[in-house]
Amino acid sequence: MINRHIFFPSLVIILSLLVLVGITQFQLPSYQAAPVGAGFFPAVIAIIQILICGVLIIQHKNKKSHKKEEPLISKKSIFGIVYLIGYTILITLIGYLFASLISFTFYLVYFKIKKPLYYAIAWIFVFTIYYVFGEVFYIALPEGLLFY
Amino acid sequence: MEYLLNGFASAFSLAVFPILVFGVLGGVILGALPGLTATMGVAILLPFTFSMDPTPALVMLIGVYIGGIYGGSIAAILLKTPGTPASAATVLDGHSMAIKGQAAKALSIAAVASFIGGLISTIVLIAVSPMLADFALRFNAPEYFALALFGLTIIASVSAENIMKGLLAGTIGLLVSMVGLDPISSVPRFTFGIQDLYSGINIIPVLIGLFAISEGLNQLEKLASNQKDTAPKFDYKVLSFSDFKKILPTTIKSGLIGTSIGSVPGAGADISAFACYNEAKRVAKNPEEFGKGSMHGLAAAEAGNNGVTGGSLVPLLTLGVPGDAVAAVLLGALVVQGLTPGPLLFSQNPEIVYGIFSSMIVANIVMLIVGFLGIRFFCRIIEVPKIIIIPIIIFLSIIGAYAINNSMFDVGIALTFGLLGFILNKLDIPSSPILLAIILGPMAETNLRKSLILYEGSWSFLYDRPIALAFILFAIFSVYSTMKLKKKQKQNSQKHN
Amino acid sequence: MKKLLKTALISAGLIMSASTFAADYPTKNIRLVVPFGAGGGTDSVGRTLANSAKDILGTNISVMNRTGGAGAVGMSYGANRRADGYTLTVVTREIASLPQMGLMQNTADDFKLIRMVNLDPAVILVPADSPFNSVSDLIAEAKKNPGKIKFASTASPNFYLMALEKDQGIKLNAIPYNGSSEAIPSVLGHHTQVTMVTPGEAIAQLRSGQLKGLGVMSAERISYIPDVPTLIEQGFNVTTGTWRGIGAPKDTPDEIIEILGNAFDKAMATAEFKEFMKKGAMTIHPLNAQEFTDFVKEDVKLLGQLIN
Repeated sequence: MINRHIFFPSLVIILSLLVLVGITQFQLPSYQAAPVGAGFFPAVIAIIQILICGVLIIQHKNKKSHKKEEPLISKKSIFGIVYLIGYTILITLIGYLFASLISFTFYLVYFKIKKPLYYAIAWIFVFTIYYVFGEVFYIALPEGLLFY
Repeated sequence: MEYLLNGFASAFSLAVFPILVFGVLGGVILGALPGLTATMGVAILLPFTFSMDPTPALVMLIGVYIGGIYGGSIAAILLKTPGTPASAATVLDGHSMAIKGQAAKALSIAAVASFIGGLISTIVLIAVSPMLADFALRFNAPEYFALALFGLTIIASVSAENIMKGLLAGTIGLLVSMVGLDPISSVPRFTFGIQDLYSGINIIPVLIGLFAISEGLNQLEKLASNQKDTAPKFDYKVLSFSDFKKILPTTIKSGLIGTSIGSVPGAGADISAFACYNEAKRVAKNPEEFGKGSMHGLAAAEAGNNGVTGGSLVPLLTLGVPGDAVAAVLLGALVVQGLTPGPLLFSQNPEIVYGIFSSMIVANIVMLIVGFLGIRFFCRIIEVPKIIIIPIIIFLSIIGAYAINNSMFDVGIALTFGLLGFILNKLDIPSSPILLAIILGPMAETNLRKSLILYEGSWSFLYDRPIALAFILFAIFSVYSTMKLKKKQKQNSQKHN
Repeated sequence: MKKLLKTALISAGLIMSASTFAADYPTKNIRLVVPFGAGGGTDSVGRTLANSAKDILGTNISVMNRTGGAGAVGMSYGANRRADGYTLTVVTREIASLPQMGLMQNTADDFKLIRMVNLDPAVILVPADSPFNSVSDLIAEAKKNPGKIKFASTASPNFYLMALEKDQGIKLNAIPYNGSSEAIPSVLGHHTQVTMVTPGEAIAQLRSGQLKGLGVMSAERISYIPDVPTLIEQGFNVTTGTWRGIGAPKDTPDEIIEILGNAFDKAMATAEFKEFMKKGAMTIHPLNAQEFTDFVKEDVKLLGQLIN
């Protein structure tokens, strides 16, 4: 496992290099000939970014005390990430109301919550948002792809 | 003066006052929910005003505006999830205070500072708006570029420990802000042919991701690790009179800075809050407290963002051009009412102008009262068990990210930035520079390039326009004083070792 | 259990959507996609029209703002909805220009156009104390010093300006501002010399006398600014402007288009809508489905000549 303080700057350097390559692919402007073109700023920033990452890596190497590091994304955090992505996909498929009811219930079950009050709060919350957004403010909530 | 008194009379009349209170309350609630901004609240209520008389219509919208900017800070202080970009600077110290158990004190400082900021800004608006209008008209591309440059130097001062890490966050934000059609030549940049990216990455989903969702992930990880929740300790002690005296100078100064920034079309509450924070830190006796729960930092950010409320009406009322998104909606409301914003409004419809002024003052007072009465109620949010509040934050964040543009694409953006914020947090890289850079990056770039077109390729605008030159000098001075500060901090910490 | 629930939900959804026939249209709420932000010009026209049409249709019309790509995102979204008449879109002139610039995949052909709502000409504006007093003054100066007159452009590229430039063989130094709310202060502050916006966008400054209208680019004078002569009167045969209308996805049944068309005709004739447009200094220009489609075809051709 590479140290996180080395890994992240290195990743950013690679991304910055990709940005520099991307800039060369910009179309030529057909309407506005300007003294400074569309690629100038991104290129300058990408180069500065590479330099900053270089400094960060050197800073870290020079540091005397190397504490033992946990991995950047711990096993414990994977639940949260998967849960969020899962909720989003579910919303895309079946819309806000059902996705939220299912996800909130699943969440409470996952953490082994037994108090009925919590389930009640969860469902009331979901329905309240549904009502307030849809009927009071007329703000559209996500609708599912499967039925609209 | 007579008009102003009449204005007060009408603001307190039975037909108007309840609408004003409703507007402020609604604004506070909308502002507190992640993703629902003051702008959105004003826009949603706009159609309801079509059938109302001009005064109550404008009073309601102004109430929502003022309430919304304050509401954003409640969630920022208590949950570390700023409701609007304007309250991102509030997180820095407000949330640290809440962690220390001073939630009630933080909320009361926010309410008082917002009130004073809003009040100063309204008084300035009443007294000297024609002069401010002249100031605003002097602003063009070179001045905006210089202002943005100055704003970007704030990154150095909001990066807590390591300036390099703050700068890295800044460059990440700048690159993100370059995505989309180039505003000058309409060439697509980093869009990969995706239409949703053509107009760039929307700031609100980024804000929601970086602050709310990353905090949600953080808390979920703690829950999954079975880390026992330490029972949140806090008292209901609000700020004392001596605290008030301490923060008063910072607050007044920030209110004035906020008003000037607000009076420039295109520069809003978000920039102002950070600029005031920066200035308060620069002159502070103990700047190392900033970011760790400084009353001054919180008061500066809050007075700064509410100070914009009056300022942003200056270009609207005097020139007929909106200073920010909210003012644009207010312009629409005025036009629908058959009124012509601009210099003629003062001579043709003084009762409307002074109605707006007096209702702003009253709205600020209502906001202060709502803020104080609400403290006990808001503090309860901390007492709600983490296990139930975290999914609520996450759900609200995702709905907020969707609602801003009815787009699941924006939800994806919010998730991406949530993950990024989560990772950056673990690397001790601050998130707020990303936000600052996304706000200021396009302002700096397009205005520099516009200036070059305006000056036909010459760079002379950097020194032959006084306001632009002043901001460039401010920028240099800001970098210089931050460097000095960090040096001092380093020496201090070495002494302690 | 969850799978069962999902199956049940999906089938319920299918039954719900299958039961919508043109005969009893409309049976549920209609959604109007506005491709620009809440509070802007396109949004307020869309919202007011929706408000006037809802009683006529007997169903609620909710406005949905879907911004991005100068209107491309919202219009593409609207074009790709189910063609059942329950999702309508405010189409703007960008539908004619963006596809030709390669910035939008959908074109006007992906819509069945229902009604045109408003057509607003561009007005050439200079500060009140400007040395230019007519369009001829401006063009003479532009011919004398090509590329020197600083033009505050509300968009990049600016088709109002390009129409005039092409017709007269002149060239101005166009500085791309972000919409009229930036371009107008720039002219007021004398940072730039001239701009072109629609009457509604500058009505406040025109009435207060801060800005001077040199010419309006329509066939006839506009009632809101009767003192501003047309370009045609001044001997320049150029007209240009911007327009808005309502469209539905291209496979929408004709019966539904007709129901909607009649409803919008009535909505545009309501006192409420007329009053709103008058206050905003916008010109209602009701064209029926066929006229509107032909108009857009013509505009696509015109813009094509400017773009290429």
